[in-house]
Amino acid sequence: MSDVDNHLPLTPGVFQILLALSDGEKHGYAIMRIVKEATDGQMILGPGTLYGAVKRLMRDNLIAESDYRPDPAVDDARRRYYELTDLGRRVLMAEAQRLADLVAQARRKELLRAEGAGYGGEA
Amino acid sequence: MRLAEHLYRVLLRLYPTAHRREYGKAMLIHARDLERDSQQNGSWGIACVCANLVKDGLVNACREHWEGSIMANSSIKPAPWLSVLLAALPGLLILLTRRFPLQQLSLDLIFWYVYLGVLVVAAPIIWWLKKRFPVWALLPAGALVWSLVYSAGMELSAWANQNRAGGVQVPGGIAALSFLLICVICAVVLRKYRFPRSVWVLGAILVVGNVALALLYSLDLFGETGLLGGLIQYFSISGLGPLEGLMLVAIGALFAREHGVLAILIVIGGYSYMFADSDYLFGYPQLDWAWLSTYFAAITILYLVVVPITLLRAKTRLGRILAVFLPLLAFHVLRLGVPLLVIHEPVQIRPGDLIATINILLSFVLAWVVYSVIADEKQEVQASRDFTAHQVVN
Repeated sequence: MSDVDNHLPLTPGVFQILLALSDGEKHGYAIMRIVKEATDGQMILGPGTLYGAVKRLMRDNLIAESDYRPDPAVDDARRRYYELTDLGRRVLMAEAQRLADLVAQARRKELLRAEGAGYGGEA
Repeated sequence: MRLAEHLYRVLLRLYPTAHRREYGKAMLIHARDLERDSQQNGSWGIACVCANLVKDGLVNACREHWEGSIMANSSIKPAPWLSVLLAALPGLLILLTRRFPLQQLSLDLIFWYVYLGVLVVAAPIIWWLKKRFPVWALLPAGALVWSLVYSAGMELSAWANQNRAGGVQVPGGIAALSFLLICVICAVVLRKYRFPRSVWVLGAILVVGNVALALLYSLDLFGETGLLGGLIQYFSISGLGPLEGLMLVAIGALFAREHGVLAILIVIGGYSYMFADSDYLFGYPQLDWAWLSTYFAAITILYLVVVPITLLRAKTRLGRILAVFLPLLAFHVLRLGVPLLVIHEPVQIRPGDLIATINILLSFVLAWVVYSVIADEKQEVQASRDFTAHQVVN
């Protein structure tokens, strides 16, 4: 089993956190807002949940603390920024592929509508 | 300060110290931002955020404690079976001696004293040769230290009272002073450790609780011996129980750097006198109770045989917690409850039995917390050294 496989499957929360970091470093609250938007407000990460996950992701070397520091005039200097590691990106890609495969299976079983079809339309 | 930030600052106190130090500031900023963004929804929005923060704080504080403290060290190396058997030997010896009638107690305990005698010679030699106190000797060492200090203190108290015929009688007063002296000596040795607030709170509960509960005994003392004599006796009575526990915890702490929470075997050994003293064990005139020996054997096995074996063979911190505290709770339920159920005469639990139970339970919890702090600090220092060595090498 590879390094990547050891981390799969990811929980929905961890997947969303890694996804939020996939396009650049962010601080905790920014991650929370992106996850909230991406899930239509279904997933709101409180500080305990978020930083507990951050701790475990850093321990597993999936994310790392970034050296990036914003201008103190526009952001709180006490914020901590995080970024994906190489391993984290590979795990995220593997998980996305795993989910895509599952979706493809569901589609083959005609449990899902084809891409592009509306909720009321036919495949 | 904003409400949510203030609320979360309180909730952060529930988290493990290491987690709070690492992420506390960022979590507070997060809570503050949540509240700021919810203000557009008015008071209802802020109330919802606060409710979610409370839920988030409570659930995740428990999770961090569980993962960070209890489930940590999931690969604890169990002690070798030879050490385990040697550690359980005192309990087995007591069981062996108890096949005789209880009236012959003092003669039967010869096996126990032979074991302690061997220990006095063997353990220091092994300690000197291996530079490590043998883990199997912790339990009998606790018994030996406690019985020596207590016996010496009681003898001195009796001698002092003899020379003060008609004056203030101080039962166990010098024993209490001896316990206190050893506590102070150990505290000086251990002063470099920074113990968390919970340690001081537990210690304070132990002392203040006894001072308060001793009033149950002492109200009539003042009428008999006057104010000064009554006060001396009152503090002697209230001090003896907690100080014996604190002394055992303090002595065990000296071994916690080497053995971590296994040093709790010192406390178990110290309290094992309860097995050798039928008055302490029951507090009732029940020596002629037909099932006494069976009852005694059951709790000896539970406490002096099962605990050392399971504690030394446990592979996780959770396993170690269960190994100590489940038998401990079962022991006290048995000790207090069984006589009430099976003795066919009116009996009641005396306040002294309850106070002793509370003292013992609190002493064990205190010991566990203190030894965990010392062991964790040692691990941190070791990790820091490893990191420095790694940096130097690279």
